[in-house]
Amino acid sequence: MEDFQQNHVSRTVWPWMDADGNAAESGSLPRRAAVQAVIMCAIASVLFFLLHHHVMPVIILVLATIVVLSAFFAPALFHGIDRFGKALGQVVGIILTWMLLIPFFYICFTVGRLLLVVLKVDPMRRKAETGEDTCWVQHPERPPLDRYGKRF
Amino acid sequence: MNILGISAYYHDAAAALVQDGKIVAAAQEERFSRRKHDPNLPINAISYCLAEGGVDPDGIDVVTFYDKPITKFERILQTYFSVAPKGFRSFVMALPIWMKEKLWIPYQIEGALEDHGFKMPKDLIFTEHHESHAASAFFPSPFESAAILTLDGVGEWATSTLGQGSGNDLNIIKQIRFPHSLGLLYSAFTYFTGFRVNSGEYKLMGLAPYGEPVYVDAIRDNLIDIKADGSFLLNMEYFAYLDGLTMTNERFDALFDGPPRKPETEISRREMDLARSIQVVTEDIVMLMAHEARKQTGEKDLCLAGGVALNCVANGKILRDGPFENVWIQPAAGDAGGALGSALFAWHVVKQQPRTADNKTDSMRGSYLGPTFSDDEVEQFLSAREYPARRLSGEERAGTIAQLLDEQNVVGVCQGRMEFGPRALGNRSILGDPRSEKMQSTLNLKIKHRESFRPFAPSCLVERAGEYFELDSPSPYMLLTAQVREERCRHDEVPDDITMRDRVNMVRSDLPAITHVDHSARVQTVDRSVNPEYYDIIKEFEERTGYGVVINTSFNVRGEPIVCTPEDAYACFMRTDMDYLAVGSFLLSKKDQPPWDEKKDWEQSLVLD
Ligand SMILES: [Fe+2]
Repeated sequence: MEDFQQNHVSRTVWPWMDADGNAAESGSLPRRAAVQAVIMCAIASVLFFLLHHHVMPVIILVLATIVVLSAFFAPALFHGIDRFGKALGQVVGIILTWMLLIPFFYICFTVGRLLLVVLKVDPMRRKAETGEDTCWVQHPERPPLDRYGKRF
Repeated sequence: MNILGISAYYHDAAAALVQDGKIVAAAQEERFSRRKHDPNLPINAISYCLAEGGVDPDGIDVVTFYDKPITKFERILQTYFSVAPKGFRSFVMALPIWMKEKLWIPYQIEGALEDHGFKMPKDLIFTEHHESHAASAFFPSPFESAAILTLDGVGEWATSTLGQGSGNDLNIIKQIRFPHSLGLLYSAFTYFTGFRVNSGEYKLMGLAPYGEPVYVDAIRDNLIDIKADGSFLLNMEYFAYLDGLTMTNERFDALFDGPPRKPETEISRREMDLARSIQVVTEDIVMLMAHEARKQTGEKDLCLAGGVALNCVANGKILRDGPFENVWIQPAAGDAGGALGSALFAWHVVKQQPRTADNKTDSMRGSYLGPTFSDDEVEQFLSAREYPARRLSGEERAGTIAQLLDEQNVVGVCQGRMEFGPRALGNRSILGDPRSEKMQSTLNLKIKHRESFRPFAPSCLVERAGEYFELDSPSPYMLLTAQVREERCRHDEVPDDITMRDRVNMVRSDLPAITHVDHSARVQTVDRSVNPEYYDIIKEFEERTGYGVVINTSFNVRGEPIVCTPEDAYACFMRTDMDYLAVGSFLLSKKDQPPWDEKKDWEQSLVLD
């Protein structure tokens, strides 16, 4: 067993011998916690110095302390807080998305739709017309080869 | 020249590596991430391909992506312009993903490569979605020149294309454009009959032989206008995929006698008849398109790709009754194959490199393009985990497995390179005895954990195929159905009040476990020159039993990707009632294994298809 080494391909897709995977993960916890604590301190500073709030900054600083301590002494708690933070972020993201996208969609696309209706254009050809002999559409000629570098 | 092909962000992400025109490696991301149909940027598959090809950190010359994302985005925006103020819910789900990922594909790929120590090359090529499918169908085919048909849900705008390949060139001649799509029509029925879109289509195909084509006229009169040249327009008044989160709407419900079947509820006569009807319509369209392709190109051979080309019943019909002498179908016909197609397109068309074809052999190497694991490594793994196993010598291996099959055991086999594409072709397969009357229900319920109406596929010695099936050409990729030979069939009367499960378990031939209710089978022919290990198992089985056929079903349970590593294979072996596991040269008996202590409820993590 000691002499055996996985080959490069196998190690890439199936690193079963790398027992240090978990150790590396736990070693990175304090770093992640430190980053999160710095961000929380920055938010607390803005609230305290610029917006003159008093209670919220204290709560955030207490949370930052818990995050740092839990990363060192209670990884399970750290992961719990981390999961909660991500879930909260997702909820906030969804709310913001809806708030921004509702006016954008209804203003932009509804106006666009009205224009298409007025111009009697339907890019989707939704009506199953029966008058034509074929619904095949000629494919455009192949573009110059340098065009393949483009995403359109 | 190292060309790395990538397909991602829809479903079945994959990577492929083409070195100086040779297909070196290809794999779907799901096999590594263990998430079925994983659509994410396939970083594990990319890492595998680069490792398999021995590519240096700065050794990638070209990266190709299988579609044109901005053109696709334009089509999506045009769709919303066409349906607003409807469509908001679909818009709100789609737009954030586009803004976050899909519009930044070059940067996503660059970041992923750099994270894994590789330098992004300057050359980044985007091929059209159907160009990728067409290239995956033609360039690896055996043909010097051929007609090409690609059929799927949708790419950028095209949903079906007709083209022609010759030497190292390929041209798409004409197309049918979104929203008129044969793939989406079939998916609409998949949804309506209670299966999962983009993965349950093959179940709908398996259900079809139980039904009668009673809805064909309703489909033709209301849903689709089919022209003599195989082109068509859908009547979008019956479909909801432009502006909703479902495939069909209330008008569709009214036309087909009620709302969609709820997933996992009982399958009724209506679903069987719908499955049969849409299968008939699909086959008719594909056949008309094949005739049109022949007329347009004058070619005698045809290449097929795109998700609809996985419909092996339609493929079998084209081969038997169609206008072409030969038909070759890309084994990874779905979007995963687009990774390979885009890389081959870059090599032959963009880089203008020559191609050779001998009109006999394809260049897919049996589609065995994934990772393999050495016996030394398997031995180390098994001993590290203290899993009891017996090492079999080269001479005894095939005979021992054949004997176990003959003794009515179910044997999981993990050997050689993993298959590319949705089918297990003997290297990540569960094998059984096709002569057994009970094997079908045993495999379905105890091992696959799935509905019991679908038949299993047979793997057959290539030289014996004609003795069992009405098949006169090889079917190495299990993409064709053929009838079991009449002299082997039984035609017992089917009682009116029979349940579906009893009906599926009726004996219909001397190979009951692989014979569907219409006496068809989804055949894989096995050639010794392509896969000697698998061939030898079937040959030994033939020597013991007189039958050169075994059951071959993919090595996974329902909702799980096919296994990749020996570790995946062992977990699947222990979670099911499989009797034996053959990993490389090692044989493991279930009876000898330590108790399997599952740490989490693995079935909860699977998304059923
Ligand atoms: Fe596709």
